[in-house]
Amino acid sequence: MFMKRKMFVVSLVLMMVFAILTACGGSGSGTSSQPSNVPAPSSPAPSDSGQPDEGQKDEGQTAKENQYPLFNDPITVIVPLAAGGTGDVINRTIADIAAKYFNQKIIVENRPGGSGAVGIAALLAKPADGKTIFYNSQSMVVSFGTGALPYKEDDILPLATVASDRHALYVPANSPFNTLEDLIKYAKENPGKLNIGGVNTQTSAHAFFLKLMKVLGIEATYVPYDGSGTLANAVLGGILDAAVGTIASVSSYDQGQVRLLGLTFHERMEKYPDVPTFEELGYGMGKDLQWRGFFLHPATPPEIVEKLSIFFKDIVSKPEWNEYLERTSQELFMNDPQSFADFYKNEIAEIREMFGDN
Amino acid sequence: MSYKLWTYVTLSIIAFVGVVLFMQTTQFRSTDPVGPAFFPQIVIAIMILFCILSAISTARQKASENNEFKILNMPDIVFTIIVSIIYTYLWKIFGFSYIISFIFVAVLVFRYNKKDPLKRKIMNAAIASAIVNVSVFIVFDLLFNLTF
Amino acid sequence: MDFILKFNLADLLTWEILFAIVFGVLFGIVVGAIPGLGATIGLALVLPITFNMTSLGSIVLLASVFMGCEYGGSVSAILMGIPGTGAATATILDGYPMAKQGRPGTALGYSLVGALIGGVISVLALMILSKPIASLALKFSDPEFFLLGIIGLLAVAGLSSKDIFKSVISVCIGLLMSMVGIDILTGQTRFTFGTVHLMDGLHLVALFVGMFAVSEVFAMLGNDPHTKYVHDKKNFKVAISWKEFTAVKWTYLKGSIIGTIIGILPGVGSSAASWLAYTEAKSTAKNKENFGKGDPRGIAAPETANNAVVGGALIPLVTLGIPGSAATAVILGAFLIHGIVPGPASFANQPGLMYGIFWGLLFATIIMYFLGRYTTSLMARILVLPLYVLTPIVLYISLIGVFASELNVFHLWVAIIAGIAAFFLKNLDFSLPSMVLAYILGPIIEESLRRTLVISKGSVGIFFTRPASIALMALIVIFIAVIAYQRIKAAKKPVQKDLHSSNI
Repeated sequence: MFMKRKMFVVSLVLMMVFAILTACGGSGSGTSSQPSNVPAPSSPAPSDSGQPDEGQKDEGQTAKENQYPLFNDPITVIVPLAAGGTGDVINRTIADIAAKYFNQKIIVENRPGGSGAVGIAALLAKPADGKTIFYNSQSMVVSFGTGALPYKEDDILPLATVASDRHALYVPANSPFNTLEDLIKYAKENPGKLNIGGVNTQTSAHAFFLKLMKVLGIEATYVPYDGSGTLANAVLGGILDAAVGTIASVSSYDQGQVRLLGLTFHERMEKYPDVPTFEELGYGMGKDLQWRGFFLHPATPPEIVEKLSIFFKDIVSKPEWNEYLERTSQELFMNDPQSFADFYKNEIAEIREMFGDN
Repeated sequence: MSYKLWTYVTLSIIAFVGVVLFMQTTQFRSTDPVGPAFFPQIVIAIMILFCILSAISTARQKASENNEFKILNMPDIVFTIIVSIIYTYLWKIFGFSYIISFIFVAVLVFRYNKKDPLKRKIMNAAIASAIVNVSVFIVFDLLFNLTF
Repeated sequence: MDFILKFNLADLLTWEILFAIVFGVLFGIVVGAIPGLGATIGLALVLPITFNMTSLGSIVLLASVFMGCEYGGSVSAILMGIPGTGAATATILDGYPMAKQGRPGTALGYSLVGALIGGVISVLALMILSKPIASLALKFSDPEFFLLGIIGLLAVAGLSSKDIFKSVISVCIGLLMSMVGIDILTGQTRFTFGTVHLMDGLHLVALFVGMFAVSEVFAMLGNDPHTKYVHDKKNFKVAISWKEFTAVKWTYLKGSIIGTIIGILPGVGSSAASWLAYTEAKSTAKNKENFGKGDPRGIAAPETANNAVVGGALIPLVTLGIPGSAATAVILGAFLIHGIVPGPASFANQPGLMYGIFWGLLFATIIMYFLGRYTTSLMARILVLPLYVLTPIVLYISLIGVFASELNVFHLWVAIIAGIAAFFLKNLDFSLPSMVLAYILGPIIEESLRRTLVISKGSVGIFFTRPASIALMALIVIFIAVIAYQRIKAAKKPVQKDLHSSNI
């Protein structure tokens, strides 16, 4: 009896050891068969946390190719959201690709709180050596624009965007509104009566709603929910007339349950061939996207910014990234630091104006 | 102090905090009647009302029912609070440190130990603290990659 | 009978699934047991592992972790009085006293059996009743959530109490604590005193760990530091006798139903489920004096409820693609990554996968019972430590746990202050459980009501046009009538000098 017990304990311990090894291998790279931190044989340089690795510098800067791994230390991505969820998965996917192709270990650090303020604080507390990156999405723009953060947009440096998600206006499947025009007509005849739901206030969904009201020329009531789950429940339950949200969050409902009335951006989506864009209906919104990207400490040296920018370009060129985008109904949206900075500043200005009126 | 007295003090503190919060609610802007200030104000009002009622009810309690309000071992409790505050403050300034944590646990184990001779106490404290910290390290750092 | 016909047992009998179930459950129990970590973090940690597994394997792994986590929270609650997860806080009230009386194995046993029953019943509901339940659940929206919240608060009031005034004050304190942070409907910050760290409110883990574990540390200091809680090695056996089981079987059943139903409603969560189950068990109990001192029903109810939430939460997820909580959102993410959109189409196109998941979870729950017995029995041995060592460990682990959940030192202050305050309030006969329940229900009540009024443009009539609302309001009226009747009856009885009645 004692022997049996002992054997059980031993096998349990073995299983836990197995578990530990898998988890160790898992959290950085996602594959248990890959070594997660093997330095490239060609780099003899010591890694000094304050300095860029001399040995990694490109011989000819004009070649614009990186030597990988970029750093011998892991790169930390600060994610200002709780673990799990779209914001998290995207970073773990990137970490996966980075480990698989570039031998670069990436660690995800979740620092939720204060609409991103806690995350920014964490970023600024680390040295500006490119080894700490800050993830965020267009929601951050809204937080800056509405003044919700104790930071200004110059406090972080745009590095790259990697994916984008469109905004959509949708109604439950049994709604009397079959097209966008039906909804507009009703709203014009009954100003303020329409209840349109979205996630939280002063977020990109809310901003989208306000913009939409302006371009469509109607008045409706915004009803904020604290998560896409409770919002979905309200939409499918019929208590709301319509809702705004990103395609990624809507596409998780089986198709028959909601009807999309319109999408942002220029062309129609392959996934939803029958859904018109607002632009083709004459309402603009051609540039409205929920993009996802990365930022750096503003004092990061330009050579490192460039190297990281190329790094991200390389990552998104991999097939795994495409697969990920497909599966989550997102699209490739690659920008380098300059173009990113441009539209980022514009968007913030727009939001500032919009919320200033409200 | 007696139970009654402590109760009065506590009720007063609660009521006072209620008033402070109530004053904050008047600053909330809202478009609806049922806005961000509505619920807090109702709740605070009820709370203050019941503080008063409770005070009256406590006053009317017969003296014989009045348990002596005893908090056992106040010295150790105060010691613990002070040490915890220092520890947390150091944590805030230096970030998490296993060395500081080691000292924290060891100090408490040492202090609570009332029986053993000095040398034994130090040894016990050090060993216990070491084991605990190593376990925490194994579980968090290695298993979960949750570096602090 | 789809769930039997369309299911292929062979799909489950692979090494991958075996690994998914065993590792998932173990990992879940350990993560849940560590204070401050819960299902959401546990799921996020294993998510990368699932990238390279099959769809069935991934989801079974995640579901197993989920199930294990909800049980795991009770381990530290019972053994150290530290809530491992928010949902385990209710288990502390009776689980910890029982452990202190030298019977940790029995306490863990009640909890584990509860987890098994709750898990199994909710998974059975998932398998057999998901479609009808899901469409019924859609009839519940903000008006109904408000009413449900009110029922929850009334349940607190319906409990007999030594000092009713202080109980009401406790409820008010709880409600006020829940209002700290950004007001979702207007975007303003309330009661944040200017600090960014309070913008998301008083963190639940920090608050609960502070209120229960830290305050308990101060109480522990009042005991002889050289005693141990457990002397008899036999008491480490995690099991309950058949007799003990039958005594609480109805509690298990009720708790499972409560948990499953709450799991189905999005946005409510396992904390609410476990507290409501506890409150229900206590208020309908014939002899309540033992609650708060180690009454088995006080362990059975919350533990069975919070595991039942797992199956319940999966119902809207797999039938409609609606994630009811952050944890289920992770599972939804896993579905999407594997190219599966949960809903009627996935049942039609890949029934083997969907039902395979349900059966896999069922097996995982059963395996959790056996694995749980051994692993928690080992963990229970911590109680042989004399108090002068155990107390600092409890305090230290509490602080680590609070930090681990948010990586923010600010919350440590919240925990410490909450601990000191709770210690005094408890000794002065305020009701901590009422405070907690109010804190959990507060947002549900306030937000749901305000949203309802936004939708109905300020008209209260909406409550009278929705069938679910009407049903709930009728329930509230009945409830109030019953409580009033009970109080009148009790007032007519000769007043008993019961200085030791537990206070909730």
